[in-house]
Order: sequence, then C-alpha cells, then structure tokens
Amino acid sequence: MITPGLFYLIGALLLLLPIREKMTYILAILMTTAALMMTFYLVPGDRVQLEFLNYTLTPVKVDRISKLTGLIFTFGGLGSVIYCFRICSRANLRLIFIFIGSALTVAFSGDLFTLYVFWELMTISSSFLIIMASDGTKKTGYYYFLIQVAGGLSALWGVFLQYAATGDLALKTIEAGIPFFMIAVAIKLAFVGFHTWLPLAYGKAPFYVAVVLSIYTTKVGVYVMSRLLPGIDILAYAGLFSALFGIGMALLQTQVRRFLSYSIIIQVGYMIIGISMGTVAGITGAMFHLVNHILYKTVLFMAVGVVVYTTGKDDFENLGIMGRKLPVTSIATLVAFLGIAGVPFFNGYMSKAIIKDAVNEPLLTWGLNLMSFGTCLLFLKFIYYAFLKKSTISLDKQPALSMQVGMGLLTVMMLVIGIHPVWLESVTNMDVAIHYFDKKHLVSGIQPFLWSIAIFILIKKYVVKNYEAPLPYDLYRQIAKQVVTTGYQLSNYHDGKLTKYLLWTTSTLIILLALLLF
Amino acid sequence: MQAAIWLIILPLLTAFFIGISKVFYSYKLLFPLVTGSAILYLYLLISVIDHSYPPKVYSVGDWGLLGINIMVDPFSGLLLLMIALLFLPVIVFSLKYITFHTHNYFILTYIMTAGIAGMVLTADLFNLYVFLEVSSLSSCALVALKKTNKAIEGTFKYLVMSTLGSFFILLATILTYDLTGTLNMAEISVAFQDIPFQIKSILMAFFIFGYAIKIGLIPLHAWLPDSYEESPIPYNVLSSGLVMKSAVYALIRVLYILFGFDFLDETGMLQIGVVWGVVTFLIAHLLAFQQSNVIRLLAYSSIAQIAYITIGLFVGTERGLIGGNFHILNHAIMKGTLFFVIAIFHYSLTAVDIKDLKGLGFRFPLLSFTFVVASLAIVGLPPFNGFISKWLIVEAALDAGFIYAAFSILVGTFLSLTYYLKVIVTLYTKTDKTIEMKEPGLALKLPTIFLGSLCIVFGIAPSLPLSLIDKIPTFLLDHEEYISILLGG
Repeated sequence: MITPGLFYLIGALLLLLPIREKMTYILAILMTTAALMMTFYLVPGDRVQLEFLNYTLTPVKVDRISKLTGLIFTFGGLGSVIYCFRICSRANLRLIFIFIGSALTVAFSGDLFTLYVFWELMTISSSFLIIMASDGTKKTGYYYFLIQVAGGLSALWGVFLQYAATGDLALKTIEAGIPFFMIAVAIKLAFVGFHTWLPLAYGKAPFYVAVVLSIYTTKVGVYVMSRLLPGIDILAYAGLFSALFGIGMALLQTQVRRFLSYSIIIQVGYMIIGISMGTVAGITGAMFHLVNHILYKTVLFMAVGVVVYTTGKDDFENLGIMGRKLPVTSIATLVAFLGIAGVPFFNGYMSKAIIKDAVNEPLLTWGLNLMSFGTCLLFLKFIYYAFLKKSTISLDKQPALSMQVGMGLLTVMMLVIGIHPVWLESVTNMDVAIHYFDKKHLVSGIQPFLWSIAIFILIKKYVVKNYEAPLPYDLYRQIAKQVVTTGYQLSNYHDGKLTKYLLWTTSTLIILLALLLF
Repeated sequence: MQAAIWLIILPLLTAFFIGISKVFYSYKLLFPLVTGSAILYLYLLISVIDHSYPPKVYSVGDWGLLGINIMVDPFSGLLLLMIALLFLPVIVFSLKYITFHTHNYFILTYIMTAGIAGMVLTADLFNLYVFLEVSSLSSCALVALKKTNKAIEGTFKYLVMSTLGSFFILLATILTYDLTGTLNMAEISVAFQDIPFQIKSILMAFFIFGYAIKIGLIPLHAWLPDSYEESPIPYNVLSSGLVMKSAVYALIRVLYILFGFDFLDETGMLQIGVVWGVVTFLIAHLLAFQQSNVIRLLAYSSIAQIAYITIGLFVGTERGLIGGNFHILNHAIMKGTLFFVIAIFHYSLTAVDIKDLKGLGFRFPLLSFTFVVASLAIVGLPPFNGFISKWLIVEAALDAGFIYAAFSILVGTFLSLTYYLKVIVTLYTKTDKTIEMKEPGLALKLPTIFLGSLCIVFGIAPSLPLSLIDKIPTFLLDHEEYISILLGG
C-alpha cells in the first residue's frame, strides 16, 4: 500500500519528460484520478512502517479523519488540476503536483517526522509556485516563504521538545512544546496577528495559484491542528476573535481575491471552534466543514479566476461580467454563495449545523451566529456586484473549457452534499447522529441568512461602498528591518584593516586563556 | 595498508611530474597526467576507506613507535571519503575552467591535497603540523593565483592570520614535546596523565586558538571572506570543503585523543565550544545577508556552517559526534555544489555579484535548479542532506542539555534562508538585458550536477554515509581504544 500523495509526486517527475501538450493533460488527469481512486479504497487501520535513522516512521496511516481529508484533497486536486492545466506553464504544473502530493502525504502521515518533512515540502513548492509565477510576485514569494518556514521551524522545535519529553514521534495529541505547535498552526491557519501572508499571497499570486493554494495551505493547518491540538478551550475564543477580525477586514477590501482571503480566515474560525471543543462531534463537524469549505471556497476562487482571466482584473466592479456573459460561472457562484451562507439544502449548512450542535457555550454559540450573519452579509456584497449592479465591463476572451469543467465538477459535488448530507457520513463511516432537516436546525440555519438580507437592504450603501483599504501595519517587517540594520552595523566593523583583525585575534586569545585557566 | 602511504606520495609525485612536464612538453602531457593521477588516487582512496574499520596502523619503514606512523580509523576515513568525492570533480572542472597559470594551479592543488591527506592520516603531532603547513601555504599560494590587487591583498591577510595560527600550533607542539619527550599521539596521551591541570589547559588553549584561526570561528574569521573573494573558484570548493575541514579534523583529533573527553568536560571546553559556535553562526548569518558579492556570501555561510559542525562536535555525546561529522561531509558537498554553479556563472558571463545573476534561472535551468537544491539543503530544509545532519545535531544538543544552542540552530536556519532566498529570487527574476556568454561545456556541468545530486541522495538515503560515520564516536569518545591500537601497532 502506498500513500496517494505518491501519485502526484510521481506525476511531477513524469512531467519532466519531453511529452506533447495533449499527453500532459492525459497524464495529469490520469494521475489525479488514480490518487482519488486510491484514496477511496483505502481502509481505515492500514499503516506502513519504515526504519529511518534510529526511528520507526509511519509514513502512511489511514483512519477515518485522514481518509475524509484525503478524499476532499484528492477531489479538490482533480478539480483544480483540470481547472489550471491549460493556463499554467509545465514548470508550474510540476510545482502544483509536488504541492498537492505533499499535502496529501501530510494528511496520511502517521508520525511527526514525516509530517514535518512534507509540511516543509509544501512550503517550498508553494513558495516557488508564487516566486516563479510572475515578475510581480517575487517579494510576495519571499515574504511567504520566510513566514511559512518560521512556522515550520516552530513546529520542528515542538517536535524536538515532544520527542525529548516522550521519546516518541507518533502522531497524537501533543504533550510538550504546545506553544510552538500553536504558533506553527496559527501561521498556517492565518490567525489574527499571523495572517499577514494570506491576503498578500492570494491577492498577488496568479489566480490559478491562489485556487490551488486556497485548497491546501490553511486546510492542512486545520487537519494538523485536529490531530495535535484538539480540545484546547482558549483556541476556540482565539478562533472566534480571528473570524470577527476577518469579517471586519473583508468588508474593507476592494480586491475580490483579498476579500476571499479574509473570508478564509472567517471560515477557518468555524473549524477552529469545532476542533477546540475536543468532542467527537466537534472534530467531525470541523472536518466536514473543511470538506465543504474547500468545495465552495475553491469554486469562488475559480469563479474569480475566470473573471480575472476574461477581464484582466479582480476589482469588485469586474464581477459584473459574471451575471451576463458567463453562465456556468454564474451558476457555480450562486451555489457556492448559498453554501457559504449556510442556507439549508446547500452544503455549508450541514457542517455548520453539526458545529453549532457541538458547541454548548452560549458565548461561542452567539459568536457562531454572528459569524454566519457576517459571512452572509459579506457575500451579499459579492452577489450584488456580480448580478445586481449594472456594469459596463466587457469580455476580453472566452474562458477555457477546462476551467469550466474543473469548476463544474466541484459544483456538482456541492449540490450532492447539500441535498444528501448523510452521504458524506456514509462514505467515511462517520456517524454524527443528527437530523439535518428537522425544524430546529432549519430555523437556526436560515435565520442568519434572512437577517443579513434585511440588514443588507437597510445599510446597503455602507456595505457596498469602496473603502480605502487601510495600510496594514506589519510587525514582522519592522522586526526584519531592525535585524537587517543590526547586520549592517556589524558588517561595518569589518573594514578590511589587518590591524583590526589582529586586535580581534589577540583579544580572543586572552579571553580563551582566561576562560580555561580560571 | 601500503596504500595509505601512497595517498600522500601520489599527489606529491604528480605535482613534481606536472612541473617537469611543463618544462619539456608544455601543455601536451598535462591532461593525461592530471586526470590519470586523479583517477588512480580515487581508486587508492576507496581501497583505504574500505579498510578503515577496524582501525589500522602502518609504520613507515618499520621503525615502530620511533618512526612515522600512519593510522586509518573511521574518522580519517570520513575525511578521505570527502577527498574522494570532491577531488576528481574539482580536477575535471578545473581543467576546463582554469586558463591562467594552469600548471601552477595543478601543482599547488596536488600539494595541497597531499597535505590534507597527510593531516588526516598521520598519528604524529609534529607531522600533523608539517602537513598543516603544507596545505595552508599551498592554499595561500592558490589564493594569489590571479595576481590582481585584491587577490594579493587577500593572500597577505590570509598569510598573516594563518601564520599566526600555525605559530601557536607549533608552540603548543614544542611545549608538548618538551613536557612529554615524544610526538606520537598515543604516547603523549599516556604521558599527559601526569602533567598538571593548569599547564595542560594552557596547551589546550594554544591548540584551540591556532586551529580556530584556520577554521575561521568569529572573530577569527576575518581573513576568510577577503581571501575567497578573488581566488579561483574551484579552489574555493576545495578550500571550504577540505582545507577548513582538515583543520576541524586536526582540532578534534588533538582534543579528543591527546587531552581526552574527560579533560574537555572538566575544563568546561565543551560549553565554551558550543557557545562559541552559537555566537559564530548567528553573527555570520547576519553578515552574510549584507553581502552583495555571492562568493563573500558563500564564505560567510561557510563560517556559519562550520559553527554548526563545531556545536555538533563539542556537544560531547555520541549522537553529537555523528551529527557533526555528517554535517562535515554534507557541508563539503553542498558548498562545493554552490561554488561550482557560481564558478560556471563566472566562467560564462563573469557574474559574481548578486545583481548580475538576474534571469540566469531561465538561461541555465538545470544549473539553477542545482543551485536551488544545494542552497535549500544548506539552509536545512527537508528532504535534503543538510536537514538530516542538522536534525541530528539539534537532537544531540537537546539531549545533552544545550537547549539554547538547539533553539539557536533553528533560528540560524531561518536567518540563512533570508539570504539564500535573496539569491534564488534574483536568479528567477526576468531581465531584458541580453548578455554575451560562453556556453559551459559538459566538463563544467557534470561535476556540478554530480555533487548536486548527492545532496538529494544523502538526504533520502542518509544510511549510505552514516554506515561509516556511525563508527566514528567509538574511537573519539574513548581515547583508550585509539591509543591501544596505535601502541599495539
């Protein structure tokens, strides 16, 4: 048995071959489908062990949560690869394959070593994806790489502490070095204060890169958090705070991809709250929400990608093209919108219902309602620009067929899950014993949506206004500047004068003698 | 074990014959002579490394302990392995790359290698000094090869500092001889048990000081970037890969065999070594970020990597020694690859400043990819070899209670990414400028790609070199073992 990620990694290698364009498409579809099939037939409980250095590693370990994650990762991979193979270069397609492959391997890893290795491989491949994509993204890529590696190293330090304390690299709830794992996960999840990379990277990178990144980067963080740090109460409040911050920031954005990035922060908030409950229901709800979120957020990114592809920009004004010229995109967007808003019979509803059921603290329940309401309000703005507002934008070129196919795949899946949520449970054998379509859940699901429509109509002019996006204050840049200045001052001491060298040398000798003799 | 002595003789002989061939045949004989000798040397190296465990002693001329003794144990086996991996690629590379003073270059390179091999093999304190001087003086001469102002200046600084280091090593050697009446390492080590603690401490300080200059720990590092800047780049591969490492080897040999682990522990030298290492790499990383010249950047990065090695070796546990030694090997490979790639860029379009590298990523896709692999490896990201050795070092430091050192290594990893990424991003920035360039031939590309691929191979299958490295600590931590073999031989 092998990890499905291997298909992608092998695919990346095969793409090195000098094959024709058509063959590339076939190869890509073959590899992604094979990975999906492989994941589908994995049996929970399977594991592979491997001796490496002095450790016994478990590169593959399947259980229900990892199978669910793997399924949505491979399905999202299929959709996004089909979406982007026509429009990205082969070098970038290779990087995308490595990225998806590593993300999948992380989802099936059974020990901290494998987890860390592929976690960093994700960082490396995604950073190069951003760096190589265009000339305008060099600085963004640099920033993204550094901050992700900082998170990775924090996790690595946590791994060392955990290993030193328990003598075990197994993937389980962490006992030592929790703060460091928290920082690592916080960076991947883009908690408030650690979120600076997310809007920057997704806003600047080419749209197809944003599509791929948005599926995996934060979601791998969610998965790892569910494995290592479940049931930490304080994180639930942090997640809530993070989500509310996301709502505020999203309202101020003028660029749609940055708007969607902040909306990721909100949605991740749901998952954090679910995981932090620590109960089976909470974690299951969070994982289901991960599935749903990947589906609708990817479709939204894809739809915006189509807009960028056809009109050249991603301002809110440009969304107007959708309602008139792009029928497939419009339908997909509407379905995704109803999903993210948590309207019954669409996919976001089921996982939000599970999470709401799992939460029994009044403050958090209110927070969840507020988050749902905020999300609806935000996306009403999106819908308003896309379908209601008059627009004069014209179409530069038709979207590629492959883009629409990729988007369509995910949309169909969304509809299936929305109408028949129990199916998702049965595929993965996870039973949460909840009646999705009884009165209580339906009411609590539809309420925030209706409220938000009312409020939207009332305060429409404030919501759809184009705000001056505030210049973000970035602590990390300030720190980096300080460090570089220190380095500059240090380097000034080295001016090439031999007398100075000899002075340093003699003082070293004196210090050394003093240290050893006294 | 006859082969071991030929490891020193063969390069010396080759150097001699290259000199003669210059007089009589000009360039005709150079190529067959140099490559033939290098290939033969590779064969000799492999056969000696093969027999490095259990350690063997070879006494030249059957003089017993009075004469010159040569000893091969796994630690020297590792250094020989590095020569085996680096020497032939460098020679192949240089044959194409070096177009000025070709004969001098090869003569000096061979003498330098003979010196390094001698340092690695000898079991005699005075011979160690002699071979050290052989390798550092020829290394100085190689720095001056280009005879530009900068090169001469760099050589002068190198010479002054290196001589200062050698002076203290010689002083310590003489004092040791005066105190013990012998130069054989095993006998010294036995005799040292009666020497007062204070005197031994002073001796050790002199040894450490002398070797630390050669190794380039901050603040004794200043000569290193200056001398690297204008020297022929293939030489830099050998310099950072072998010359610096042989000094590390000699230092560790002297400390662990002569003084013994217990003495190091008692004097607190282990703590000093670890702290020194931490300070060195933190400063070196900060300084490396400031450089605009890639070669200087790599020089500072070498200083930082040597500091990681120092930490590994001074942690004082078995795991630490394994990690440190693995990093010695890995650093030689990674830095060699980086210098090779930069050398090719220099050869093709005389680019040595970071800004000159703009757009080369699209012009030399394979070479740039090699550069990326090697730099990610040296930063310490998985799945490359540098990650494994750093992992071992951090784990060992944490085990031995040096928590701050272990944590600083991770900070250092982050800092080193900042400047390597700067270079990488420049490589992949498009530029409109069209520059004339020479196409690098296969002779330049092959050695580069060979070393670059080792970065990946040793990262995925670290057990290949570790099977040799795992045996090193036995003969270092407990010097009785080494001594008894040497005396018995």
